[in-house]
Amino acid sequence: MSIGNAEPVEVMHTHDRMFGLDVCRTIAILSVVLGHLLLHSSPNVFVAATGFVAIFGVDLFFCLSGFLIGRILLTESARWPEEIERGILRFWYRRWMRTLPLYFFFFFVELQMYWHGASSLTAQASYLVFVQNFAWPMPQFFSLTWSLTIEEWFYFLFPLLILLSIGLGRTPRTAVAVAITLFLLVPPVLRFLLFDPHGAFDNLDPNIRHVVIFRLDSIGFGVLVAYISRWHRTLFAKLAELRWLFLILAIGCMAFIRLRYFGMPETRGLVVVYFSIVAFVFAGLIPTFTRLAPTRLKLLNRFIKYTSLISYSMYLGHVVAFTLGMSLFRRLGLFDAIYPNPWLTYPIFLAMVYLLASLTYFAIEKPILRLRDRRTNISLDSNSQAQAC
Amino acid sequence: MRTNNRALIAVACFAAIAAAAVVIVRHQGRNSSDPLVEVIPPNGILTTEVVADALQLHIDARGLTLVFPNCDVSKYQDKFFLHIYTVSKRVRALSDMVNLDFYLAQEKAKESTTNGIRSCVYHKNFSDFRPKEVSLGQFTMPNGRCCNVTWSRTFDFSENSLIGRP
Repeated sequence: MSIGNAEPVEVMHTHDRMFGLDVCRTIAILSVVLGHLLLHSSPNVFVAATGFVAIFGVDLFFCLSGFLIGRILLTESARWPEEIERGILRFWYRRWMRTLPLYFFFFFVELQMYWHGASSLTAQASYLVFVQNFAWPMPQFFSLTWSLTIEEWFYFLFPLLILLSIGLGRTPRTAVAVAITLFLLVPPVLRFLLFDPHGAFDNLDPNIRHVVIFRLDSIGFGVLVAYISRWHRTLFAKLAELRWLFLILAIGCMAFIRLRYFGMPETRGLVVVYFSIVAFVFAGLIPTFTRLAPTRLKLLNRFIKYTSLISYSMYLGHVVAFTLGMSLFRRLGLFDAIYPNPWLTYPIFLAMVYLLASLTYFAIEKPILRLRDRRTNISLDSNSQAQAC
Repeated sequence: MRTNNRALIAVACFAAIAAAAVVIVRHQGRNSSDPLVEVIPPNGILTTEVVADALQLHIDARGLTLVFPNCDVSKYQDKFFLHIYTVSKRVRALSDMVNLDFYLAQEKAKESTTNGIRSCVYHKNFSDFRPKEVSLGQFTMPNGRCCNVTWSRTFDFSENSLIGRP
């Protein structure tokens, strides 16, 4: 893999996809999957200690998503002063057709399989409208979906703010800038006002990290980078040149968590600043990713592209795949022989993740995307559309 | 700067629909007669795993029900804590807690069969207490030192929500 220094952004993509963003998404999804995988079997202590990077895989996802969706919104919102509700509804239709079918598929799988039918649709109604963790702690049920909920609220609120600004007489470009500013400022303020640090650091994930209103700034930073890429190309190029700085800062963020905040007191201020800094740092890596060119190893390039393509299915389905793996071991009477051995368990689990994700991608995602694209035949910023699908 | 009324009306409508959906679902959740349910894996097992015969925890304002599919209670021998708080956490003192800690072995189970699976069901009634909040979980006392909590959940009656750590 090589990083082009001087080439403009558009040079580094093929067939409507930026290769570097596929790399970014592949790193993000594999961090999440491997982080959860290491919770199984009996990995080496040092290897198991790296599992926490799953947290940062999600942070990277947020920034990437903000960047891709931001680019789409920058293009589409230019027509909203004329299109108004038709424009925003088309945006939502495309997003929801992309994300909801598979979400609901795995939601029902979760109800029936993981919970053995113990829970019910009525008891989990909040999951139908993505309010399971809107401004309150994420429940344990289908807990994987906390990050998708944050994305869904971003898809809903961000364009709504753009339309509101347009309605108030702003130009689309200013409207996007206003929405970005609000997305960057409001969540830290809410973290400051609503977070009670007493004893909450032991449950930081359900109380803060997984709560929608506290985390929308993570995606906001990605949109900011999209805005810079569109309107401030020189700055975008400079950000790409600062890749080592952002990489070191990213490693610093990971060390900060791993080493328990470097011994800093667990205060409200820490929570307010920390999430913004992480988002800023990971968003700062996006320009570098856009400049990555395919490697000479065609097989590796294909692996990256394919993993990126099925990443949403992998994200929603990987825990189910682990579960299927364990059920398979039990049915074959080999659980005690295989599961404790990570050299056997991990390859089998990973194979099941790819198998299940491929199945759900080709059986559910792809046909629905085809149907969607047939109904909304638009061509706007084809790179971002292709990669955000 | 010229306002676009149609855009403002559209924003107001979309925001109202979203707010209504949130309020309805939250309201429904608070008044739901369905108990909240969680599957609690035994000590050392992850919540991301599906565990055969894991404890199903059902909780609502009426009480707590523990269901053990196939009556397999062998992995849940640690002591259970069940703390009932009758006043809000902002103003409560230690004396406001009702301690109902128990071992399964001391409790009587009812047997029931659902979908062909035999289960042992343990019930704890809350009706005597009018609780505001209930904390429950399991703990051990390594070397006699209190306490290593293996899992815990807190049920907030005002929110009808169950949170905690695996």
